[in-house]
Amino acid sequence: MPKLMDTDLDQLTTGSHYKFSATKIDALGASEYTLAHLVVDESGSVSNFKAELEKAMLTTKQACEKSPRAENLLLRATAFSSSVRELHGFKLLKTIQDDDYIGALRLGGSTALHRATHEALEATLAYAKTLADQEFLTNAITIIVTDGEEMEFDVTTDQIAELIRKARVSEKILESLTVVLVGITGNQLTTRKLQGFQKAVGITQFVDVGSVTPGKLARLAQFVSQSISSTSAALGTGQGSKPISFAF
Amino acid sequence: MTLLASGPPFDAIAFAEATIAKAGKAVGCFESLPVSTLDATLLLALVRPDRTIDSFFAQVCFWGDGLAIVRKKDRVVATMLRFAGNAPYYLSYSLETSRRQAYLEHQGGRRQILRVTLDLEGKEISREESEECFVDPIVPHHEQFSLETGDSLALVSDGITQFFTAENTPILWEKLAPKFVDFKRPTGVFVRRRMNFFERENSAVGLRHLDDLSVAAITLLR
Repeated sequence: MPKLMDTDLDQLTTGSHYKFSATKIDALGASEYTLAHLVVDESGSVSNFKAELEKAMLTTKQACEKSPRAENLLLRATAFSSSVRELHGFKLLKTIQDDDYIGALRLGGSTALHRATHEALEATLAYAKTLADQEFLTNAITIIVTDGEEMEFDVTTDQIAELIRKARVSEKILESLTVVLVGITGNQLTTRKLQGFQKAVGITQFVDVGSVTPGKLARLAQFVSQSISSTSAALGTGQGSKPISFAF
Repeated sequence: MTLLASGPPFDAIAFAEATIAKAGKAVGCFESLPVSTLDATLLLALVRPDRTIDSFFAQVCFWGDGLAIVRKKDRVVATMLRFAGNAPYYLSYSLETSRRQAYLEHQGGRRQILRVTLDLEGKEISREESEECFVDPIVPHHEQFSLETGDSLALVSDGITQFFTAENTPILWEKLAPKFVDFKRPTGVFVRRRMNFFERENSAVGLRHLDDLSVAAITLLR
């Protein structure tokens, strides 16, 4: 059943006409926010660990709620296969429900990794611009979790690289941008292709989780929440956060 | 700095005496802290509805030096209070007879009032300067402002007079005053948001600030 329209959210459109939702400015009381974005693969190949992946997303959100910076986080989640779907827009943690994650992934289709990355970055930049216009200070972290390589090729690596470059020179809009690519594949060839994608577009950090196990996805949630907290703690310093190293 | 929204008839002198007595008691708990720790300006705005003309009435009390700024739809009105010899009377002087007496003998009991009206771009529309003498320094200087919904009132410490360009040229406080009440939205920590942005803007162009700065503000919601 479709969710009712959330009246606390605005429906926005990016320059490439991606539509996304985000908390209305009038509902934001702090002076600064970290825009955190989870981008999760829901292609057919994640079927063996769908429930664990959804749980890892929920655990990430719950861990972020314990952060001293919880009131300064706006979290968005999208899922992608052949297309990109918003699970929830940029929301304050207290307004995110468990069922925004549990049972949220719809398996099937291929891997539009490029478009999902492009969409996430454009939405982040667009919302950051809206916030900057209202004098909020923002930084951002986008974390992309995938078990496969690009299969659609409708967005080029150059387009993504340009977007990341643009974000990193727009200090007035976004103080810093961190992009993390997480590979949850035991396949060496896919891992190498993901590393190639990281280098081609300028992604900050590539994390190779390897073959998925429930324990590794639990640690992944820990890594993601720590990365988000670290990014938020760096807000106002003029620098991005230092990548967190984590053993899987 | 204190903002009071409403309440019973206000006795400024009783308020001042009670405030400094309470502060003196708190400082007295710490042996190593001298009373001079409390040498600071106190600015207070009392905002009440004025039912006769469907608007609001703000009474601002100054104990020490500082600035009150009101942003209206089409202009900014500001009153700066200064003391002769740049020596404001701090309420803490009232805690020690010797300091109070020394102040009155040395300073002479004079303060200057500068009222300026600016357009929203900061261009001066009018200016009026006057001086007043005071005998009992605990009696504050009073300013009155008429406010309507949507207007903002800010109380700012004298730190606003200590901004300098990258070339070390002082920046007139009149040029900066409109920025202190240019709130985008009145939600949440709107004063901190405005001042943080102001600081980032200043930093980007090398503008420096050489004194502490306090700002409190109220916006009358529609």
